[in-house]
Amino acid sequence: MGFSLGVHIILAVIGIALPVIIVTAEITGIKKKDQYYTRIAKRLTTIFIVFFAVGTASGTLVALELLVLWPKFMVLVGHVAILPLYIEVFAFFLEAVFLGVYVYSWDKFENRYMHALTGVFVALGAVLSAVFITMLNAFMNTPTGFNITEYIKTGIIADVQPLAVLATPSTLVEVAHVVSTSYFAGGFIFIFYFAYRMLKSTGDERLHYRKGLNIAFGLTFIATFFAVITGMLSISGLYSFQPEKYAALELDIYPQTHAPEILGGFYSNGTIKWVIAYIPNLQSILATGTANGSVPGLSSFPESTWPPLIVHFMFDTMVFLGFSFGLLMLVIFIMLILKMHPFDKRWVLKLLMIAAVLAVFLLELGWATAEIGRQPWIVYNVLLVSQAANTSPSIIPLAIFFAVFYMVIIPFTVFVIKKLLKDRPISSEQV
Amino acid sequence: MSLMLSINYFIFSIFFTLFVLEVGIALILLLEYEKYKDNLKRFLMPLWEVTGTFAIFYIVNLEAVVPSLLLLIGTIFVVPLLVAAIFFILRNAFLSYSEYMGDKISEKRYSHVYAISTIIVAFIVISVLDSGISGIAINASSYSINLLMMFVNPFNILMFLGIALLAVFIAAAFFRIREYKLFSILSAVLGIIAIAIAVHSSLNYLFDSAFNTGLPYLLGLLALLTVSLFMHYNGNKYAKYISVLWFFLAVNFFCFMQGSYILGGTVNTNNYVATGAMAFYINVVTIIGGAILAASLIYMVYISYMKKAPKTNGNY
Repeated sequence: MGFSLGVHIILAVIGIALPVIIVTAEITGIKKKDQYYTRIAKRLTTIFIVFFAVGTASGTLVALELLVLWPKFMVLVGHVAILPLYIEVFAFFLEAVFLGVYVYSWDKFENRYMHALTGVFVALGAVLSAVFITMLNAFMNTPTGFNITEYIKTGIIADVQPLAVLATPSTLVEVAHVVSTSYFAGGFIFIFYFAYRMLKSTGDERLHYRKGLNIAFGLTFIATFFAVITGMLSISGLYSFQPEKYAALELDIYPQTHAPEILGGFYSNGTIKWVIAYIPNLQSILATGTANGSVPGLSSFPESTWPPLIVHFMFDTMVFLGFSFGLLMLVIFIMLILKMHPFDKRWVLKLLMIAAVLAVFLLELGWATAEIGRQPWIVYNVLLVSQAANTSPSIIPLAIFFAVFYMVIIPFTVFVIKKLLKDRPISSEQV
Repeated sequence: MSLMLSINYFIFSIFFTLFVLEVGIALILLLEYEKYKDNLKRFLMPLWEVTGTFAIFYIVNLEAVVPSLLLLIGTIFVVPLLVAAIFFILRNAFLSYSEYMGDKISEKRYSHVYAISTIIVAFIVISVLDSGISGIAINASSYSINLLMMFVNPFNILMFLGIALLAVFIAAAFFRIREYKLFSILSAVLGIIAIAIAVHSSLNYLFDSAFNTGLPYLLGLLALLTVSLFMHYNGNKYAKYISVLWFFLAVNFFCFMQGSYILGGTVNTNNYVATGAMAFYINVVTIIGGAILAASLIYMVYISYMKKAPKTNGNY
């Protein structure tokens, strides 16, 4: 399941960011009467369809896996939290139906903006899918909408309030963070593509990719700052609603005031080793707004429910990378404002390509940190992973097969896209 | 039968009609690729994803309608559903690959992979549904299933053959494939006979109710099929709509004769259907979402199949 989700996340962020880039390119092309942008939109649409086909199939697989690998979890979801999952189907429909319209109606509108509008619905459907799926994840982190005490005591699901699941305490911040990081990582994947192609091309072709890079960078720049801000808000949310997870991420063994921010460090045999630095009071200030604010500690919870404390290292890496990205994007933005033409410099393009690889790594790391940080719970303080899982041994060979299958199908998809773009030179693209 | 279950059957009927039409397309792609690929793909390309989304719609709706049964369904069908998912990914991936391949050999090869994957998905899905309906190969008390028996039993084989034969007829009528005129009519008749024998032998209660409470509906269906076969034989251009409508109504009929019973009539799903506030909101979302979906689909059909391109110079 983890492997499927890990792959699906990459396909999903491509599916969320790409329609925005495509529609922006098309509208810019119409507005400026610039055929480069129209070509970008058309070529990216081809890429989008292939990724969409594989992405929706892997999404279907994830939906099926939820049912067959976590049947007890889905029983709880079915009774309490099915609404976001159900509404998401309609968002997915919106995306799928309008993608069909968008792809096969380039020449069917007299007013070209009308065609671009159909692309807006594709982008809207994609992001709404992410929003509703994240609502379900927010329910897993901060469950609400039923009598939890009764459920834990007897296993009976009672006092169900179906709408409560749409607005759990963590929903808003989690949705904002997921949407912004999706645009961030998805945008970076296309920064990689355009930067790589710019390095490999000259003349007219280079100009084509340069214009594509402008759009991808613009989207990613905005998303980066929202991702950093919402990331910080997410930590505040954990402090309030998931103190155990918060303590694990911050490596707080005991509750304390004047808590320092611990950079690096591993917990082993009751002590914290290999700390890089302690920044006095910073954690208390960030979490509570005051230096003498109290932060929770893991000692307040039974050790059996502590998440694996590797999450602290993962969290530190994530924060470090997140702020580095913020800085990088800001520097390039300033270079653009000062007309230093950063995209004409090979080292900037190479740096952006390295950053893009790290951005995908950061996306996976962020997701892994969030999920491992909730362990051993699948629904926080309600249902354990071990209680919810289908433990049938027949799953193991299938799981191995899935891993191998993805390792073949994803590179093959990239190969096909590469081949079909190669077979259709930019100059021959009809606009 | 509850409203929620009726809606679930309605969604299933749409999904299954689209899917069987796609199975028919897959069969023709395998048999007569060169002759019909352009015609088939022109129809298939805007619609393939809608079929997939209807599959998800049905699954999630089922999760909402009978949440208490998910433990049983999820545990028993874990292996066949995951295997079907693999072929579903192949179906999606290779259809999109084939659409954009420059060289004809790759296009044909990828189209065949798509077609074979679709047929395999159909076989697994039909086997799962047959097993769920009939209870064959399932031990509900121990949450276990005999997979070999699930696939290889007379009921399942006859049902699959019957549906495949009907798929040939539906696709031949829909795409007006004249060469298959007599063959496809024979397919339809044989398909119905195969399904009738299967149902009579393994789902006697369903067979009885079809000839009792369902008799007027059954006669109407037979009349509509006769009209459909006749129109197809005469090459009437409306035969395609009538045949698809007939199939959709036939699936609906099967669902409603099955009623709320699964596992060979031993489990009444009415006892597991969601109630109270959740049922209300699910119905509200279905109605609002369904209206938006219907409007979107009508728009898609209009733009993709009916609207002509304006006369422009083609440039921005």
